[in-house]
Amino acid sequence: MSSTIKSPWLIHYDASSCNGCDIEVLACLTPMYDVERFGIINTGNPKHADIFLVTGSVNERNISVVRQIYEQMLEPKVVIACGICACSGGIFKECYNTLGGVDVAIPVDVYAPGCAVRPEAIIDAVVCGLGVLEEKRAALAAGELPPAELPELPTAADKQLDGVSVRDAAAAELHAEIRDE
Amino acid sequence: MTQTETATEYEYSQTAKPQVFIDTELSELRSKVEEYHERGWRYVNICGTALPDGQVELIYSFSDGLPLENLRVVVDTTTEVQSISDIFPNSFFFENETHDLFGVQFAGISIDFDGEFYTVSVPTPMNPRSSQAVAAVAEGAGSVGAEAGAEAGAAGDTKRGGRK
Amino acid sequence: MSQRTIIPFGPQHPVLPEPMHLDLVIEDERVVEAIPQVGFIHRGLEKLVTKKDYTQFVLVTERICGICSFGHSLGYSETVEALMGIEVPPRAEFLRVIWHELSRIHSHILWMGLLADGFGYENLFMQCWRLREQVLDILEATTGGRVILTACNVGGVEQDIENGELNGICQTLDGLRGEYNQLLKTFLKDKSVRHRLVGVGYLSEADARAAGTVGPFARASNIPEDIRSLGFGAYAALSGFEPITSKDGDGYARCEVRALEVLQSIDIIKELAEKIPDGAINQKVKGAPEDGSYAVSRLEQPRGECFYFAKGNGTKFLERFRIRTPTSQNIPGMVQTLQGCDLADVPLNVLTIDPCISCTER
Repeated sequence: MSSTIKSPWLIHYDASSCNGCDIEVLACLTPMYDVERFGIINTGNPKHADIFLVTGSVNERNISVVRQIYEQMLEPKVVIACGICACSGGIFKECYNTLGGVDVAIPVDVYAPGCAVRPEAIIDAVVCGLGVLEEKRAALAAGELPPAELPELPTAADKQLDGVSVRDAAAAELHAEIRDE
Repeated sequence: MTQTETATEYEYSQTAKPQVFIDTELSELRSKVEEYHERGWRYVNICGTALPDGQVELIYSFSDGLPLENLRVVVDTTTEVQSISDIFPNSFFFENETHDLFGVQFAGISIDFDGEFYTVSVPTPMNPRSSQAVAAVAEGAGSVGAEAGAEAGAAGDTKRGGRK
Repeated sequence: MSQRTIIPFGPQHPVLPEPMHLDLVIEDERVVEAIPQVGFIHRGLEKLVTKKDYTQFVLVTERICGICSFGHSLGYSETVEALMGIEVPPRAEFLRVIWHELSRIHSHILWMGLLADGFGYENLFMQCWRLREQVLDILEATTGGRVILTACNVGGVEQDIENGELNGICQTLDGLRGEYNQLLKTFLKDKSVRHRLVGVGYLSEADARAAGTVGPFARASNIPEDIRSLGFGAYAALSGFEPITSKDGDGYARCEVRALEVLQSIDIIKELAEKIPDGAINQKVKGAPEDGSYAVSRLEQPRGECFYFAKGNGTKFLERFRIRTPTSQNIPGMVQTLQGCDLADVPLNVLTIDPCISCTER
């Protein structure tokens, strides 16, 4: 066991969450739940962070921000998707501007579902993430950690809903209507 | 309620929330907004609603404490609507939003984001029949058009029962 | 003449729990202009109204914002009730206001904590958030959720709070008031806090009116506007309601207004818990909103006046639902306070309007 997981620093970014999960993430850091007892410190600088907590689904504008923060973090790093929106898009999956969960932008290691995610679930996910972090650290030390691969950049137009992309569905509806007239 | 005269006589009861909607022509809009400004009213909201034919119904809301009045204007997405951000500066927010989501053309917005307010890759997502969306579909018609018939059924859930 | 530089602020910034971008044009250390950019949280949930019927959509409105969650479901329900002409039972009206005021207490204490964090008073931040957990415990005990409550629906409320439980809540709030008063002393009297807040981000009454600000931001600039004073719903049963205002118009005034509103909310809850009538908590809702019917509704959220608009089309699906949130009204005022302030004060200025970006962009 290394010193890394004794005091992991985390960075939190709100992709397009409703705030519910964000305030629960912050609540974790405060006296009631207190993840600082695991040596965890919330930092604002991606270069200092080992754990990336993302809340909310990604959309057209913030996908590049999420990817940039991820790329700025140094290996070994762990990504935790907090809340059902970050896991899959949740209740907003059908919205036109939601591309889906965080895993469409960056590789995710731990999923913590819930709407809003409960602090206990976040603590559990972070502790689970520490195990992944240790594995990655060991692999990195042995020179066996493969470089992180980012998924292909999607756009809202290619977003699939019920097997049909959003743009095709809109176009098809419009065409059908013009033909009817 | 369609007349201004009746609207000002509207009895604002303390228990019911005021519901005043005044039909307005686009040409009269600015003078009416200026009138509210002179009376010391506060700008509340601009709300677009897509109509079935691709037009947009704009609702401008103004308030003075309890009284709340809404101007209703129907505009085409090809005609320019004069911005009211020189009268009420905070209207720039929703004018930009209405431009991005509904395709309404506003002229003279104080801070004009020029379509970059929200990043949306489907043009005018809230108003799929706006002229911009139709033009975008016409451009990419070759690839999509052939499958349109087959997919129309699957996409049918967006068609709404209330439109007659 | 010094050179002008543009400094990007956000979207990822330690002081902002939510993403928002500002382009700060600075001259030396002074901000000359600030250009806001939003859209990082735009989901497009107003369009979901075409996919969820009007009884289901209340669940979506709760998730517009996790902090004003109950307020949005309340505002939506009131709008649809106005659209369909539904009378809500009096007990439900009272319960709604009690939950809404509890949300206000937790939102304001949360904001005070963030402000303390913003000016580097870590200890105070922790104390605020510790205190806030007591309110969340009440919310969890009465509804089952900590932040997303699912307590309000069209026609009434989902569950009742027994009268005995209400008494318990009042006792908890009394205890909270004692601890809160100690915090209040630090916020309003402590020299280092005053040093950091007094005179920061000044906005005059005339400017605040011209910029159309709402909520505590406006009340701190001496504009006594509060939708609660119009007496909608159970607010009419209060013996008296006076909006809390301050004449100073700076960061300290905004802190003071919110801080005192917490005490006011405790009083409101205690008064309503005494006056609450017995009876049904839910009105059965049938049918659909008429074709071409319109309704508007306003509500005082923790951050200010929130405006709702709904249009029916004869089906169970609304034609359009619209939320105009307080932050979008306050952003022009915030930009004004930023002009001429020190670069180091920018985070505080942004915080003092209590921005809620996920409400704003929906």
